[in-house]
Amino acid sequence: MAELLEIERLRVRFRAVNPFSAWLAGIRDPMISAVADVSLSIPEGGAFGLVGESGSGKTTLGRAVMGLVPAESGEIRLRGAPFPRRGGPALKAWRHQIAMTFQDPTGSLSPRLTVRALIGEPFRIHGLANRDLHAEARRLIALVGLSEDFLDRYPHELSGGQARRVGIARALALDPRLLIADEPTAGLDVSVQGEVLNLLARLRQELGIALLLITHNLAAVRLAAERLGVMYMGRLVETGPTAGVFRNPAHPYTAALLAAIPIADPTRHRERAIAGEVPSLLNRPAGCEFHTRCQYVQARCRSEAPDSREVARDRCARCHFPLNPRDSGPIAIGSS
Amino acid sequence: MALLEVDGLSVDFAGSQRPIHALRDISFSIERGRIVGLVGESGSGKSTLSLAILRLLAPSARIAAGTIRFDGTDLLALSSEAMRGLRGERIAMVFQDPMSTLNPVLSVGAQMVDVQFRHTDLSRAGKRGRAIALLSRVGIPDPERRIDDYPHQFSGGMRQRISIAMALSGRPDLLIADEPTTALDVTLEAQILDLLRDLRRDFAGAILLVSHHLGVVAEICDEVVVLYAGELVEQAPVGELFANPRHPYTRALIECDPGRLPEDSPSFPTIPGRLPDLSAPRTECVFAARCPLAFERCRVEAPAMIDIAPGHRASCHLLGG
Repeated sequence: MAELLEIERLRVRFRAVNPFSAWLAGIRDPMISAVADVSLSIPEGGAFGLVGESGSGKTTLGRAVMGLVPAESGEIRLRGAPFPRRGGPALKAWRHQIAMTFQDPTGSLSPRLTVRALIGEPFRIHGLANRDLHAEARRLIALVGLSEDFLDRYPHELSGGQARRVGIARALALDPRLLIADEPTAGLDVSVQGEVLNLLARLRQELGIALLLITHNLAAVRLAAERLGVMYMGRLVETGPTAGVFRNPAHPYTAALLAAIPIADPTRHRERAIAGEVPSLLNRPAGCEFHTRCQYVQARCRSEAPDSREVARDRCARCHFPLNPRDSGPIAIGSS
Repeated sequence: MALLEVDGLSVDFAGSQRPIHALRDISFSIERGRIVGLVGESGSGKSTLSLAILRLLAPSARIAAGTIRFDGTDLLALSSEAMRGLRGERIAMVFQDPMSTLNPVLSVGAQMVDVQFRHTDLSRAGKRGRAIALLSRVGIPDPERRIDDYPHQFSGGMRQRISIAMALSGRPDLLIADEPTTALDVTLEAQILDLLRDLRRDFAGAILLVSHHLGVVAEICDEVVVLYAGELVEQAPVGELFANPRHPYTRALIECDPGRLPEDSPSFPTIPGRLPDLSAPRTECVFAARCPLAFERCRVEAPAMIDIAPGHRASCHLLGG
């Protein structure tokens, strides 16, 4: 299948502290890399799940693909065409093909517009207001499984699940090829989460749209995306087919993350959670950035940063001592 | 005698035309030393129930019927002063969002000393020492140094640990934890659950854990109370509830948990339909409109609570009775 989206060594940096405070606090580099050397690709119609803890850079990566935050280095290509260097019409054309739904479903909808006006906005912004906007609104609201009565409601009259659907309808307005869904299940009841995920699956099937699913809902991503990327401190530490990663995580961080999912079965017991918290991006640990929390840490991990490399067919991990897929402990697989 | 006994509790909120029945005829009890999970989706009345126990309901709410007895005392008959004496001291609460529980302009130490204002036997230094011990107990590294830090200097997981430490500072008999891990990442959630499990060992009281997440409940609770649309539909020991759920709503809720689905599931299960109108008088089973098993009787008569096994009861016509 042809690649739709290709990201190569993408880096996004933010200024985290002002230069004077940085100087006072003795921080040499006031910039943080929210996304650091991330490479991934999504084929036409594919679904890629991006998981990781808060602050791991998932959302920033999605926003960089939309052109909402500038990339410092690296490349983003859509169907082979590079991200436009200048804004204006070229960026508008880029955003015609990629759409995003945002974390806060109600907050991302203007409270003063009706659902009908909200769905019409993308057409106006892209100079397509000459279309029959009423017909488009009816088409889109039906596509996301809401009745036409919703067109005259305001965002505050919508439940969380309904607001998500309206956000998705807006995102689909211009018939994009890629939908970036940022935490589409956050804050929803478990039965409503299923409805939204089923809707995304149906849209992929009906419209052939590709999906970048950004989420911390690990149980959901297992079934909603074929490929999975695990982020830690702005880096992709593991990628591979979702089922394979869940069955045999190669990176100790992935293993710890998966082991932390509460099991809805009182007869089975989770191992104790990994200790510690994510270190500050202003003060990245030397060597492998996960070594401060890794239960398999060795001397080499403290001094030498591992590169991402293929640990099995179609599986990449950024670890010196990836876990053996058929064993609980780590094995060294030749040094790079 | 149970530590907490809720009997026939009904809570109404003032609606635009008719009152909204947020809780109807809720009865359950909590024994000392137990962790009881209170499960339900948005609008089920979980938070209303925990606020009713603390008598912190909004002014628009009215307790229409029922009693709440805590350690033998009728909480609803207590004077405001007496209730204030219990709150934070014998019944404490941990909220979902630790940032809004903590005062951003006071250091953690100052707040933790302040909440011990009733302990007139302790000097300020004594209270500070106790605060340090509590912070250490909930796993804050280097508490002597960090006690003078402000809430924003702690991460989300550490802030939730601090709010648990503050809740424990009054030596409560009942700790109500309202979605204590919902705002946290999965690794931090696991750490907080480990902490709650450890705490119960040296804590003689009981914990009421409010959660919409069945995985969380399965991990640490002894018993589970399931609420739907303001009614208690099932109560059971945790193992029994997951192995043998008897109310169709409980079953649907368990089936919806994405963690239980096999890898090749074609779609996610859902519960079609929506919550019933909470202001309407109840002439049918509260779950009838969404129940896949509903039959004639379910639409004309509300089912009674039926005992299934020791500690296990549910309200469903399919159980006979």
